[in-house]
Amino acid sequence: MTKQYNFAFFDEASKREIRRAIIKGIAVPGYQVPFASREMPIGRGWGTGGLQITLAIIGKRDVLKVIDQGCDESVNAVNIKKLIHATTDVEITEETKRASIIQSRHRIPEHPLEENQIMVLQVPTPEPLRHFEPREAATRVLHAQADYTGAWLNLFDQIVCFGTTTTGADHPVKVNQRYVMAPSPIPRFDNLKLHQSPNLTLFGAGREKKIYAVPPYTTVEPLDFKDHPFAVEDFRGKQCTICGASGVYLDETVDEESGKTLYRCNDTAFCTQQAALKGLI
Amino acid sequence: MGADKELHHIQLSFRAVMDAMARPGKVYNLPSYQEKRSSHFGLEAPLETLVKMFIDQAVSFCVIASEPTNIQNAIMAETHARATSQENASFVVVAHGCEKGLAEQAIAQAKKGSFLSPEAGATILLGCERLAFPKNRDDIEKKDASLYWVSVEGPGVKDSHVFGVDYFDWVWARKRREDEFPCGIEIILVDRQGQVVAIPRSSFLSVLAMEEGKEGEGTPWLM
Repeated sequence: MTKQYNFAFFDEASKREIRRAIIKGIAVPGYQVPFASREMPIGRGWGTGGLQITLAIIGKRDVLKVIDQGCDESVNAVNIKKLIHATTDVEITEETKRASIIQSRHRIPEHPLEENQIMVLQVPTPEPLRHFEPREAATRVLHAQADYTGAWLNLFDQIVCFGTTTTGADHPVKVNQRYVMAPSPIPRFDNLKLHQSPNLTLFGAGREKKIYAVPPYTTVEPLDFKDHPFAVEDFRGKQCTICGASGVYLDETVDEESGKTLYRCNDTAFCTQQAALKGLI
Repeated sequence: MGADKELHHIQLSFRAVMDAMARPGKVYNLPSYQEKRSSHFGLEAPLETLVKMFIDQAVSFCVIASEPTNIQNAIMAETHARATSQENASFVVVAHGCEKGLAEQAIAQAKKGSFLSPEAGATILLGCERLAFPKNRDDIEKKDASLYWVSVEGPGVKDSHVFGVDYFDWVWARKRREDEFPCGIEIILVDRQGQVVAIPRSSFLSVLAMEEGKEGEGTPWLM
């Protein structure tokens, strides 16, 4: 590595600022800690929050995995990996179980995470109350008073209009029975993976200048009603056409020639691993 | 220590502290120093590492020690942080060997943040003589007059974590604050050997075993 930047790109003062916010975020699970978000060499909205967290915590011994929409090879993931590797020289992997830090947009990997792993999620809109309250000063008061009426009403409106909640992703959750939190645009399928998970999950929103966290073994409950319980995407009876996996989050595609609907694993690394184990590739 | 070495040392130390905060009551080790180093601040090396990890010109701090002025001036000179009273400081540094009453007072008076800004609650960097991790139940039941066993529950803890510490008056001081969550303080304990335990405001503590002959022996006290 030719040294052109400080290790992990940031100056040490920037790392201290982010590290202080991370510590407070872990201490108050689900609370959005404001921090002095830095300008990054990627556009805001492209994962600057997650990237700032990763750069503030990463060390020489870490093994990094970056995914975007479940894929290790998408443009966003590849460029983030390139930047981090160029400024740290850390090992990059696609294998979930080998990674010590996993930065992700939109997915938590299918392979269950372990205690020694850190999940970093990129968050575009960290405020779960933003739909009905555009003022930041007002949402802070609502969080202070634990007044989450608006979040419940939002779900209630969806049920009245459509017969079910229509949150495809970013379904709000209550953390440690106190804060309602946006779990980042992960599908509902992944929401339950946050509950009592053995790993630490950190959330970074660069544009909105917020960091928050879910410590290991913490209660995370999706908001729902007794007569409309929370439900994940239903993939019953469907399996991946590449590796044959079922019970995982699947992408739906259409074969243009036959017009047939096909399904395949959204987590490409998991799919490749499963296919290799079964001798399919 | 060169700037590069220090950078990596602080990074590894931060990961130990972050893990400690994510798993309250579990004992973690700060990375050991390969070379002998002198203290710039007049603090024990592990506590100095915590100071360098968190304190800079963006935050305020306060030193609690028998002779705090020199330490405070040294930290100000190197980090450009603002020294302030213990009621207003973002970071309260309680030096090793400091009078126990002063440590209790620091915990009692540290700022708790507000419902609007709970992150404004202080972080106490608390130097202690000894921290210990029980390998099994026998370690806890064994009468070791120099250790008190503290059990921790709450977010980050699956069932409970137990650690040993040489004094526990800070536990009472923390309890007496009666902060209403999410307001509160974080306490990061660090011993002279570089072992750390973190207690975030979300944790519940109970003292499991008392020094022989003292009231409440073996009875857990919820805090």
